[in-house]
Amino acid sequence: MIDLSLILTAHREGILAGTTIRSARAGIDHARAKGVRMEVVVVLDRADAPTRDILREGFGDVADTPARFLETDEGDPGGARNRGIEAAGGTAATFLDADDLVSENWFARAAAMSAERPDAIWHPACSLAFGQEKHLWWHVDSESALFDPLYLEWSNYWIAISCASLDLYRRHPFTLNALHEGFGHEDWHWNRVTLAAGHAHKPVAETLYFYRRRAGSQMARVHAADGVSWPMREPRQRGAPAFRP
Amino acid sequence: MSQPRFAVLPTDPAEQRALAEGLFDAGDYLARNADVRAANLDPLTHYLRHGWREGRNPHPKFSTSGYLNAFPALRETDVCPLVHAAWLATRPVDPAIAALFDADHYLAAFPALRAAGVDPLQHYLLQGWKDGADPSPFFSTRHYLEQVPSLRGGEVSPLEHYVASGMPDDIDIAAAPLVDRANRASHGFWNAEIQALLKSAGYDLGPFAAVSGGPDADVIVAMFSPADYRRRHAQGSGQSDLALLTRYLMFDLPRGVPPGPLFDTEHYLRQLKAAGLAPPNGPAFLDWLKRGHAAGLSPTPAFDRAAYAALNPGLVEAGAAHFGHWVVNGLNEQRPALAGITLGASPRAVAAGPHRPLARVFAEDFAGPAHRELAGMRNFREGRFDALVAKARDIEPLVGIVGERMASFLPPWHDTAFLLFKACVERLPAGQYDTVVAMPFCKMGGADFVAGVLTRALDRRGARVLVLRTEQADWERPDWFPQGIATADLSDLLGQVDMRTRASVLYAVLHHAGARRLFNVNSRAAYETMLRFGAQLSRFMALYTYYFCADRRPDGTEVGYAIDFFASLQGNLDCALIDNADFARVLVDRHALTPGMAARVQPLYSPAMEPPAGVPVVDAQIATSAGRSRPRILWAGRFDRQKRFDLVQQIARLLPGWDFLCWGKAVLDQAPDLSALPDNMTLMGTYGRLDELPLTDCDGWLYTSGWDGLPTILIEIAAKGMPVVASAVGGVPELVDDTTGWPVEPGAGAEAYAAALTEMLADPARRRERATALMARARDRHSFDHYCEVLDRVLAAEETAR
Repeated sequence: MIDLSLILTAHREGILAGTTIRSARAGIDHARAKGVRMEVVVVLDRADAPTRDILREGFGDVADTPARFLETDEGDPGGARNRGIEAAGGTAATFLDADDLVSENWFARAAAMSAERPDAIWHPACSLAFGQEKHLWWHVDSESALFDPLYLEWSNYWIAISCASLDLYRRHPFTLNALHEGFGHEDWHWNRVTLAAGHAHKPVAETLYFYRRRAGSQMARVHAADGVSWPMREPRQRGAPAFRP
Repeated sequence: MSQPRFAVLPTDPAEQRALAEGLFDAGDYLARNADVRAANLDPLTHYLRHGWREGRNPHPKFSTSGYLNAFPALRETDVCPLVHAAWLATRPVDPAIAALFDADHYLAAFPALRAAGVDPLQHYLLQGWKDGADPSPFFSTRHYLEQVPSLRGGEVSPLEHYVASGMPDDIDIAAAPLVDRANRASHGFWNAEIQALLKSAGYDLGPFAAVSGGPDADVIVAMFSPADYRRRHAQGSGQSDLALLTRYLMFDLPRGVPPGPLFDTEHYLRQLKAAGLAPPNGPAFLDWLKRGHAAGLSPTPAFDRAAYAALNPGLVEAGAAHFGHWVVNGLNEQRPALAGITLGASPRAVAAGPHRPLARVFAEDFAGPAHRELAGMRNFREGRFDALVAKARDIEPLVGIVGERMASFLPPWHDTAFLLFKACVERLPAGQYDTVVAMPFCKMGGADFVAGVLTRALDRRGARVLVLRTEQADWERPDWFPQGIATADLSDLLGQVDMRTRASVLYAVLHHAGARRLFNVNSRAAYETMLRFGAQLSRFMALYTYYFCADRRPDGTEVGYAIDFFASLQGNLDCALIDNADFARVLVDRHALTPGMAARVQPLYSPAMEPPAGVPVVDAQIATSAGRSRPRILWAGRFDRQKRFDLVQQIARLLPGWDFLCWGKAVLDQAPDLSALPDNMTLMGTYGRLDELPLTDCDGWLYTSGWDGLPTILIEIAAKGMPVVASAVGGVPELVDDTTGWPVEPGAGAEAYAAALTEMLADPARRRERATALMARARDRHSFDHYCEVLDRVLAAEETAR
């Protein structure tokens, strides 16, 4: 039985995925030591050959941790995560982008918190941006006095990286972006949808996500398109995404 | 001199001399002025007659020129400055006024007054307030005048008005937040003032004055929260901040009541325990004053002394890295006081007036309840954080080192623009709205009227309409809108940020309001929002803009929103609404729109402000014409280039036997030279309502605009049944043609207008026929019902398209 599925989404990260592999393996080892059984689901979404090769090599031989590789043609970060969730078999799941890193304790602690509160969605305590931009971003507990629901109408509280029950992810798939129409930030929208559905978003104490800021990243493309999150309301025109706020 | 105060200054030379004598130093004058001494003149006589005009000084401590600088209005009179000063010294001043005046503060702002020998209080009362000077750190002249604008241009200063009115609670004498005022005052001032207050009330000064090591009084004042005090004591906003502070100091502080949320009792008790100190024996706040402060214990989770020192190394050198500095200065200076939280700068509009700086909002409202989260963050940063980062750095060196001063965001406290958005949301009247009408302001203009008509029409359809003003606060004609319409002024908030942020804020506000339709009637912010987010908005709401005629530069270039935005926005619009068919045709032709595209450019004639009268005024004009010895023509409009007032003057010169009565003023352009108007032209000023004009005691209306849409004034005139000679520009011929008036070709000279007027006057029967037809056209096409019918068709197309 798998406690936690790590869904690693990859596109064209190339050898940037190398440090991600090493970070993930350190976290998997740490989790195993804590008794957490994991699997790895690598989603190769329109991935190029270097990315595919380095990930297949990097996760091919992790002790006691089965790895699967999905080739997908989503061309969308939320779509890729959805495909990973479909394939995953753990009680809980978490995500990792193929150019980022996690603190070694993230998997173990997140799985433990999710087991304790399976109705909640857990994020690292903070996200450390590195690379072209450096800053620290603290993840606010939606059940704390610091939380202001109005802010979610304005901007995003939590990054896409979360840990929750597999069932929760299946009930709330990510909405696809439509950058050509100016809609991006699938994580922001997902956060709003899940919060509105009654799922608290909470930080896992003393854990970190290391978020690589670079030109050409998904976030950079969204900014370039002046992208906004899908509003939480019914669209007036046909062809809008299939979601029910 | 027009000032009444000066009028009571004695004019009798003997009385003036008697007044001045007491301030005059004859010996000094003679010593400094050898020519007076040599001529053996009486020094005072010389000064009063000649000396002051020559800039000589009557006393070593009185500067004639400095005095005139202080009272510039005196230069326009023949009053000797020394006489004026001596007279001022005899004027009684209400002790209550004197008590509220801070001479040191005033002289610090105007140091030249001291050298000139000018009494600062008298200067404030006579001159200073007119220049915007404040009589004390706690009294804002400017803010007072905003609340009592009738004082402007008068002779009663705000301070006198305040005292004479009984120091009313509903006037806020201070513009800046209390803490700002406290900061401006010196420590010594506050300590002395507060001690005097308490002492005079018979209270023991023990809490802070008698305790060695206790905080300065200004720290307590800065910790005081008027908003919290109001909440706790169920006080409305009628009491000024200063009144509440006084009450707190007099009645609550001596009992140990904390001054506000910046003293968090639970946090202080935790601090005591952590420091190994015994719990308080009595009120916790008094305990903090007596020993906690001296021990360096923070009274709030929003302040961490070690972090304050680490994040503000300059303060350590100055010995100021402590709670007192933070609460008095650091909060306003946005100095970081907690590791891991980078607060954004407060937008000016949010920080001003009754709003508190962002850092203070965080400290007062959130830090206490969220102390566990803040403690968790601090413990993590001081604990395993660095080790975890180091492990990641071993894998990827780019991760780097996280220094104390790296930007560290705790959303939303880093995000200034969000605070602005939040302030906008708080301005919205409660409720959900399916339709938003965005307009720049509501003054008296034609577009403002159209926004009102549109809102009434939407309201009649049952829409829940919210009117947003985005550029200026004016709401001068609520009667143009449905009674009780929901409206909000966002202009001061949106005006604080660049256009890009403005668009983001308005975009979020539209979604927050729940809008399914947006009508833009000349709101620049709404245009920019549609430009940037038109595609996204159009997926969720129907978008409409109103375009009126383009304006023209002196070189003839067209300018205006239709020029700037039409092509960029049209693809995302449901429909562009144009107040005349001509301009709609111009836009369709200019952009080569297909018939399908052209269907989304809809002429929508504006209704007259008042329904057409039953009988056209032309009937009465013809009936009374025998009583007029000369033909009388009316003209009204702005004295701006567009309206061609120069042409009216030329026409009047061509018809010297006629009278031209003209109403208007320059609005957009510089006022024209009116010094050489024709004798047969009379300027009548401005008018409030059209009915104020002699519509039945004249022979017709002249309209001379060089370019136009379909101007509101012509629709009004048409609705009255007035004979009209009008330039056939823009949409005007849609109203005034050969069957309804006397159109004049665009660009025609004064002769053509004179000929048309002559023709109009010559045939009363035709005049009646055309004016009556004009009125009928206004009734049919420019009625509110007709407007609603067309709008219904437009909205029906939108609903069909879904």
